[in-house]
Amino acid sequence: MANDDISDIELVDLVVRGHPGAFRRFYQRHGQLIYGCIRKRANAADVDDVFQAFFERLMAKGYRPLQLWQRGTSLPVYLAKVVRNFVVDYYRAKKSREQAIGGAAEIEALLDPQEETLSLKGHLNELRRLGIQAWAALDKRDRAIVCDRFHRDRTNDEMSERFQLTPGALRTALSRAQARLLAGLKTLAPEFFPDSV
Amino acid sequence: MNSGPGGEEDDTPSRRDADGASLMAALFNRRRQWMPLSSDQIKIVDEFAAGRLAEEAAAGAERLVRENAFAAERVMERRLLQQAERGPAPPRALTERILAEAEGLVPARQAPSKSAFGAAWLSWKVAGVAGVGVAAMVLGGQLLLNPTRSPTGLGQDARQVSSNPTDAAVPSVQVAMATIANRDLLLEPSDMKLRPDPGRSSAGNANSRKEPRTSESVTPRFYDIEVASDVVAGWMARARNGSPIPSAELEPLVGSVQTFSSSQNRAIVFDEALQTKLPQPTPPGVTKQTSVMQLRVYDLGQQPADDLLKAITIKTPQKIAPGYFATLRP
Repeated sequence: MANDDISDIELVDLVVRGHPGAFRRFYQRHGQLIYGCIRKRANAADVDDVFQAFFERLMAKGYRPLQLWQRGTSLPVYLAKVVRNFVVDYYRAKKSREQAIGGAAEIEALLDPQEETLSLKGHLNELRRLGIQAWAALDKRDRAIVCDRFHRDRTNDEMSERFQLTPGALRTALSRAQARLLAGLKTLAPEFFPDSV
Repeated sequence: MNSGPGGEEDDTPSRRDADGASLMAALFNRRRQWMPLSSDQIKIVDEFAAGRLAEEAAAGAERLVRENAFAAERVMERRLLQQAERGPAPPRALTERILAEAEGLVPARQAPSKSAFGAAWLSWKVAGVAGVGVAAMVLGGQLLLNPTRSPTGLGQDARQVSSNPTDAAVPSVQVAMATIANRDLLLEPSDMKLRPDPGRSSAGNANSRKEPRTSESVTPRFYDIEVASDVVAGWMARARNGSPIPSAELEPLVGSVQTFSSSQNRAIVFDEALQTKLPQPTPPGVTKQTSVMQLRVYDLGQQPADDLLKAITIKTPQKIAPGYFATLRP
């Protein structure tokens, strides 16, 4: 990814103000991230279309999403969230087109996605929410292991005794429970994961 | 290499743990610290997110990510960037097109999602507007053809749609001729005053209206106006024929169109006695003489009007609701 010497805050301010060349720098710095996030969420055949549509929407709205970015938080994390919303809207609109014209679904699809300024806490909450969803899909034993290890901070000795496992068996059980949790999380937030695990 | 949850290494599971340890730590961040990271901490977190720390260093980084919100966010960011870097770059042609659009070198493409959807939305809007328009036309037609009846049962549309299609859109007022049995009812107390009225308008002003001075604080029962005789003759001719008169023409008689429009579709009846004051028809080739007639227009919606309504006989087969009575000024 192209690097240059200005911060994301400065770069976004230049883009929003329409500074010549600022968009090109923004694209060079974050285009691949945006493309990657879209690639993780969109159908392969639609990726290029969605990617172009994303930038067209961004430009058409006067870089409004960038104006809403809360300075001081991570721009890539924020962009990932914006891309995710955009892809959801894209397919919602596409689905509406393929269905009968008219009705509430069509109007809803036209509405702009919710504008939000995500704070650092918001980013963490979003990840936490997805994590809880993935955790809830685990079986009872995995849920208990993950909870004891990461939420209650129990030691390996405590957990061995609690689950009646040898230390080695506990490590294996813990590793597998974590893998299953991450696999579930990958379906919910694929942009954080490589294409194949 | 990152260690497993207990700090011990094993083969395959530890590899998976190394990949996921930083994300698990971010996922279970306790948010106890909200301190921006130092450059050293950033390096540690970046190394940890890349899976390049081992043993104690990894355990220390994990604690940092579990405790510090900024460290957790940094892990999220690093993971996003790592995955993006590992993936393919956008096609060059697409990049060039987007940059050209942004720099105004080429017109923005109509995005398929937007254009197709926009067309659908447009059609929906057009259909909606057309539907509302049709509904308004139907409703308007119903109101014109079946007007609201008055509580007395005498109500009838004072406005009629002309048989001439071109007149259909022109607001009009129904008119008729009438006689009055007792003309004494037309004598007002103010008429008994002999002194000349200083507020009287000049004879040529057909739009002049004078309200009775005795009832300035309430809505007047009648108006005194001056109208050209040929205009009155035209009105009366149409009243005899039962043809409605465009509202705009009647403005000097009963006020503005808006005022009359709000008067519940009432008709205007002309006193037959007006005929006596109209000039005789001029023979062909002789210049037409126009005079001014002094008219008094009673608003039958204002009290007291019962005596007038009882005394007036309307000469029309149609059922109308008389709203104004135009007669001679005593």
